[in-house]
Amino acid sequence: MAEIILSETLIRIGMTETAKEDAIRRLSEGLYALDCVREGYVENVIKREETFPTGLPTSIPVAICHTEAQYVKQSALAVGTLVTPIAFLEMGTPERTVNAEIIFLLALNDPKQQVTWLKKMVTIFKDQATLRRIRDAEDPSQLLQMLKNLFRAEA
Amino acid sequence: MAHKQTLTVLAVCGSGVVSSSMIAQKLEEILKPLGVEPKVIGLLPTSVQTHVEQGGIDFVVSTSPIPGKITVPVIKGVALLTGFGEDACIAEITRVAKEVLAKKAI
Repeated sequence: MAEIILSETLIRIGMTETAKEDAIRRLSEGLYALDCVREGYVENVIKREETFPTGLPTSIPVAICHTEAQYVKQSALAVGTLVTPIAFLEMGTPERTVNAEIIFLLALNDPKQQVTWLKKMVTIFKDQATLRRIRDAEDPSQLLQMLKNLFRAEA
Repeated sequence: MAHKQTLTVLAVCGSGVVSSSMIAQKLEEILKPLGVEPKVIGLLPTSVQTHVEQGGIDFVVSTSPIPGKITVPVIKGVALLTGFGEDACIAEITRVAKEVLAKKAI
């Protein structure tokens, strides 16, 4: 499975942005800094969010923003927690919105091979206690360790 | 037991891959215990109508609204990602799968 990078550079605790485009841009900075994504990545994530929204009505609502693999050089996961929840349209039911408290910004260059990773994400989304711990993380290194434990743990 | 029956299912999402891959995993877990060898194809919403018209598709599970007229059952699959309403979603997939299998057995 192509490796997926987790790093403190990709984590933003307590983002204060109130518009989803701003939050996505801010969260994408680390992906650019680590040279994980190509030119056009964040614009396409934002554009895609308009037509194929990724808000999930999980116990603590989240958004799983992403775009096509062609914009990704190196797979990585950026995670941001929000001070004020931001409305994202709900995946599959765009008449509804969810007030996301956590944004998972995915950069996957080979999603079919990275299914194990995606499967772990689904496990996380379904577990309120885990989502709460992620949302309430107080510093990036703490959240990074949490994510490493969640994803590195054998399925 | 005779060779397993197959079911061909479209897993549909906006990228044709990310949410589809998550759904495909769940579909295998749901369908295999029914004695079915599932074949899951990830697809974009805009490609579904043509694909279904070509035949061979038993049903569709999607996390995105699908344009066009789709002549096989279409099931909303977001619940498989969130856990909310998941039991109802699994029940519906199981029900549709059984109906399709019963028709094929005739």
